[in-house]
Amino acid sequence: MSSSIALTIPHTSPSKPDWTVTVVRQEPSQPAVVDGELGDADLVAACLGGQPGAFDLIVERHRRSIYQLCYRFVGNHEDASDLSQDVFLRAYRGLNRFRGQSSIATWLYRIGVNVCLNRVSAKKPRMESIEERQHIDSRGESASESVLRAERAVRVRAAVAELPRKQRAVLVLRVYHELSHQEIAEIVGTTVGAVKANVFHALQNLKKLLGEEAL
Amino acid sequence: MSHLKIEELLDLAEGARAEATAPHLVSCAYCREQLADLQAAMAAVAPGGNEIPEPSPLFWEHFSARVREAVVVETASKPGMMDWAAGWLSWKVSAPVTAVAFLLLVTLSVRNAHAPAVSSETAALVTVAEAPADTAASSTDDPSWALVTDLAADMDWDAVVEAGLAAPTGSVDRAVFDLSADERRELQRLLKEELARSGSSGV
Repeated sequence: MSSSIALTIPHTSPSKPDWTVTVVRQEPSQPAVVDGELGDADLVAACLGGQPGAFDLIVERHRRSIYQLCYRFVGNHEDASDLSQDVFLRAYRGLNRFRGQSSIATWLYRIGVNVCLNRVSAKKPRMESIEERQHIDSRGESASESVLRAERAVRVRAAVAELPRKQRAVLVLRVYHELSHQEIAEIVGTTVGAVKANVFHALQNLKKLLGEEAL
Repeated sequence: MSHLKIEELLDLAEGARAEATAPHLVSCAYCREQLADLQAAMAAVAPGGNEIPEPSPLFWEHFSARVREAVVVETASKPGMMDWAAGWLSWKVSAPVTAVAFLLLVTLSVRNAHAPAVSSETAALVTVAEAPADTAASSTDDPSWALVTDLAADMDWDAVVEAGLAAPTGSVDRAVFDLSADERRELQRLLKEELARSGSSGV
């Protein structure tokens, strides 16, 4: 913050000081955003106002959930990382179109689902192997239990990847991101009834894909 | 007997609704089986056994830095030609411009149809070429004009154009475009008058 001081010293009365001090403070036009408690609307406004760090905060708050969403679609770290970056870049480009009618999270999920669906329709996802999952926390399990759990998880993800696009999207958002039917409807641009129907059919299809033994 | 709807079954499977509120289940084996299948599938995909592998702790900072870099690149190229072109080509801009261009074209076509086979630009050149000889004679007395004529003596037309001394292509059209309706009518009248005079003098 900068300030300037103006002194006015008249010479009419030497015995009695008769001067005034004026302090003019100039507020910085673009303060850096450091407060992590800013609301969605404030953050977006700060971004659009060109305040440094505002978009960083959005990324920091939502990067994990967006990465996990992307991972559920593509099934490996590299692609999930690239897609997540793409999601945030698209969000940045479209910030001026964000109206605040939904939360930033919902808005980012919407971009994420679109990006992921476009990607998986263009490229068959490369699901990671069990070996790649070895860094999952498996404390309290025996080695064989851990391997079995990892195998099962890979099979489930492979089955989810086989689902039709919309069923996969609503299932991932419902089961793994615990969003409400209403939020999912906003994200995928449909009705609550259609979301429920998609979840229902996704679960039915998963049962067929996984078979009795996996259930 | 009507079975439970999809939404009702899902609400029961997700626990959003208690089974006691669906007495139909007690008497319908089909709906009970449907509900059991849904619950089994939900348990199979439950997050408890299907966590995403956690990336390295360094990944998140690295990821944020990558996004930051991409945003910087994006910001640097934001006021670029593509955005300008997109705005320019939007129908809000292109429609009125097209309409005005069409009107101008029609105006020029109508004028050419009624005028002798000499374009306005040519007429302007003819007018300049036919400038009174006394003007040229009097300017030879001016030393600065003599300097200009000396310098320009060796320049051909291509060099003049290259040096940007000639009127750019379409400048006459643009000038006409900027005129008001009254001014255009007056210009049309003057041109006709001039062309008629030139025609009668045998040019």
